[in-house]
Amino acid sequence: MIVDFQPVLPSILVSLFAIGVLLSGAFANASLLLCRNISVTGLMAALVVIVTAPSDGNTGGTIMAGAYSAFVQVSILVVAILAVWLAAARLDDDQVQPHEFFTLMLFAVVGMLGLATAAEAISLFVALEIMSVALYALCAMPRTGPERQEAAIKYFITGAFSSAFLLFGIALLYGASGSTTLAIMARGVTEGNVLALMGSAFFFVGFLFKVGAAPFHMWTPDVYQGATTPVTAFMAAGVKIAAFGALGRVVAVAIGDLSGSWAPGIALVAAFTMVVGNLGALAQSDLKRLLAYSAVAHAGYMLAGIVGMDATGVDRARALESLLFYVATYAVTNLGAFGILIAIRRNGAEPSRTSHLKGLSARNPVLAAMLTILLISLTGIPISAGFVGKFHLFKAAVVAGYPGLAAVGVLMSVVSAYYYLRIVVLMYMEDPEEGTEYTTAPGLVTKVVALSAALTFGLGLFPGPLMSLARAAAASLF
Amino acid sequence: MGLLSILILLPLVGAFVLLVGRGMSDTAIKRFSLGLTLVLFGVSLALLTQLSGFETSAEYRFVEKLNWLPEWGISYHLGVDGLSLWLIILSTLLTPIALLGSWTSTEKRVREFNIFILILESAMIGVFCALDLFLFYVFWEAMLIPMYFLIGIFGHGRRIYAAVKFFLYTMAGSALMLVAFLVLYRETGARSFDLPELLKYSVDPGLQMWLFLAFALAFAIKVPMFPFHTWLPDAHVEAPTAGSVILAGVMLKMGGYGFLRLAIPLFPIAADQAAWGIAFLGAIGIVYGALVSLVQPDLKKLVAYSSVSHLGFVMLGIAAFSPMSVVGASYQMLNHGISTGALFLMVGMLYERRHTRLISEFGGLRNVMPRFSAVFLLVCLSSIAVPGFNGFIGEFLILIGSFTFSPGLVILSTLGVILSAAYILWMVQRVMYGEVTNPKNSALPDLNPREWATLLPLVFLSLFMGVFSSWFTPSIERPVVKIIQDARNKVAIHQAQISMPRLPAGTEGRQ
Repeated sequence: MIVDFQPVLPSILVSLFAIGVLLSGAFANASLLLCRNISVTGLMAALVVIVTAPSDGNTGGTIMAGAYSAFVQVSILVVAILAVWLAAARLDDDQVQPHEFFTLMLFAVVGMLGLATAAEAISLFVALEIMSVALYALCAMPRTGPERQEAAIKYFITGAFSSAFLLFGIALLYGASGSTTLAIMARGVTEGNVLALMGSAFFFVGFLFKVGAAPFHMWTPDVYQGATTPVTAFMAAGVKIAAFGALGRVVAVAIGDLSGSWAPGIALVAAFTMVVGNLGALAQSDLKRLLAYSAVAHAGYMLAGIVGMDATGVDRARALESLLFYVATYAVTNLGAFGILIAIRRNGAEPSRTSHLKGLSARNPVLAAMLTILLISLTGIPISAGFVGKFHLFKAAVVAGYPGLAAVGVLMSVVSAYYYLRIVVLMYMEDPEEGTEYTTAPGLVTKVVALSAALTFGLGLFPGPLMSLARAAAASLF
Repeated sequence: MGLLSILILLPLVGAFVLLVGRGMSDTAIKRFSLGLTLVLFGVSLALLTQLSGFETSAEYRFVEKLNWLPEWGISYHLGVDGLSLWLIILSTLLTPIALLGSWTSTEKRVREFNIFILILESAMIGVFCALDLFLFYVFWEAMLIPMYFLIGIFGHGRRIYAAVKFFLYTMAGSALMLVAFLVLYRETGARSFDLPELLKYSVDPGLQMWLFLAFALAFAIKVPMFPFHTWLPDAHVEAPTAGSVILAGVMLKMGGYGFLRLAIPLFPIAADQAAWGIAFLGAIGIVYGALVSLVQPDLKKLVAYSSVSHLGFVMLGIAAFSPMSVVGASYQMLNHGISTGALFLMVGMLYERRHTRLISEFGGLRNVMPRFSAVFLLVCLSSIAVPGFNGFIGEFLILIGSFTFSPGLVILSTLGVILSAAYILWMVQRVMYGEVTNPKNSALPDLNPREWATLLPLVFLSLFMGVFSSWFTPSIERPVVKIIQDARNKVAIHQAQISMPRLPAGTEGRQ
């Protein structure tokens, strides 16, 4: 049997470069810059392969490439490249072995890429574990304080729980259908099949843990706060794309016909997640915890897209399309927001509390303006990618017959305006504290943030091209 | 590129120039944006070249339609009819006046100030031109951010509180409207956000009320209609003069405009059922706003509450839904923009001179600033709708047109007319007449040429519109009559359907 390796070529490339980084560090004592460049080259190479030689094949029916996986993988790789730049800028002054750090990052990317292509439950699980294990270790780096260890342990334990749930769900779905291949699984998943319903439920719980949806979100604030900022940025953006990419495929291919049974439950979870995330963020004065709760809230918005797939015909593909668009743009925006924290040095250190941004616009108007654009997008106010994305997500939910969920979503967006705008208030309407000095981190951080802000604004104005890519991607699954 | 796109894009281009033109001095920035907004006013007057067309038919003119997101039924669809025509001109007129009015009072962060004003102007014009719900919403929300910054950065005392309150109130209102857009998209089956397209469908009467309420909440907050007005006094009092002028002059009009353009045509049956409630709240607003104005010690707050009262008239006129009352309401929106804009400017001038707005701090200004007080009196007369001034035409049409709808409410509202004379004239008396009791007031400078330039157009217009109202009303009447007829037809069809007896099966044809 001739195996078609092209579908896994991007993952292979990234793996090879990951090993390359590790060896270059171990044997040649490679510098941070060299490690960064090797990593970026690897990610770029994978990106080039996907864009120039898109594969439409599959590897034994377990790994399936196509427009869908290409969209998700490209988003992941773009985010990963930006995250590597951010990490390289941040790690200057930390005690960390650069080659270990970047190796783990690349392996996490391998897992994410796998999630995008997994067309079979076991490969999906393996990919998820590759990603997660690398991330657990990344959270603990660099080992400078107890909060990193706390973050890593917390993430590991809850992650192990979620894996168990996921595996149990897969087992039940296997029991219902007799196959772990998603497409074949779909035949066993029919209305009234209790095993299939329970399997879907456990499967969802596993993923809800990963994306930080309430009530499975408890780990998010602590882990986001504890991990070093580039890791948080990478985790927040990459995991969301990969997890929703995989979940979208599972729902579209395997358990979509059961949507009448699970969608109302997921709608409740989505609404609850929006409420918990946004109300939680209201009370935060720590920037990273605020962004963590905001990430929880956004997981809720994204789940509205999954709920929107409880529709028929073209509307189901449209819901998936909205989800893909939102996840991709959210990842870029969110990465930019964390990038700001890395770009700004307040008296030489990273700003950690919201009050640390006081009067920023007077000292650094460019960064303040960029953060404002990103926050506007996170709130979902036009003209920004966040607005277009939210609009389409809520439209999908309404079309599927969940106007109540959309109403909760928009009202919670108003709540979110309060805490996002509080940062804008601090930056623009308060005077800087005496004796604080803002400097900009060296390197390309500012450019990464600028790119993210420009994309956020540009995609708000001209969402068409990305939207049609997302449409083609979503349509390829149906 | 069409005229409307130029009107929308030109300010944005200007804002961009200011953003990148780092070398410009503050004066250059001010001159640049004043010049640009004046040019825009000139361009907007080009809309009047088709005035006779606006007067003869209600169809949209200067239409532009470009695909934006065709798969989602979203297009860049612009058009103007007699209803929006004058509101656009009002926006382009008030913006340079607001800029000129705050020429000396903005000293810090001049660049940002002008950028925000220009973005705001673009979004305001956009709201009045948009014929696609998505586009409308984009402009509608895009207005919030520059205004939020204008209040929050350039405002007075409790500016941050006022800015956040303004933002959250307005966004909360429009958020549910967005959901209503989506439900409408689903229910009509048109799969389009295009307004003319959506108007061809009639929405299920049971659903109409929910959707109407969602729209009405957004617009009622914007108007603001009692009891959703509480953000207004805060926003106005803390806003800088330019912000107040634009807020009162243009942005408040969007509530009434939204009712006439979207809420009523899309949901005529629900609007018909809710009419009495809206008229009632309008009348309450008239009296309540007037009573609260009566006791305000602060000039700006007095003017702010008088807006609540004036816009109560607008809501009463819209709810009564007779051609006369709706034309009156539309006319009154323009009048309010001019007279209240002028009042805010003049209060701003007093504030610049004395750094206080408390009525008790003034007195006898007529002796010190005779020209100022003469103009002030004219503006006040326009505001209280003395015959000969524009306000009279608007209020008169509203009251006459609403009388058959509800004599009781009209009588109640007439009380507001009397009260408005009371609070305005009493204020004029305390501020302008008598002896100069406060020595700080004894040497205030009178109007300077710049201030004359901001006030003269407004004073002229309030007289011109009071005398030559027939120059404006025919073009407003056309779309208003069409909106009313279309809505009445839809209501009549609905009533015919529910009053038709359900015949038992097999009895059709046997009458």
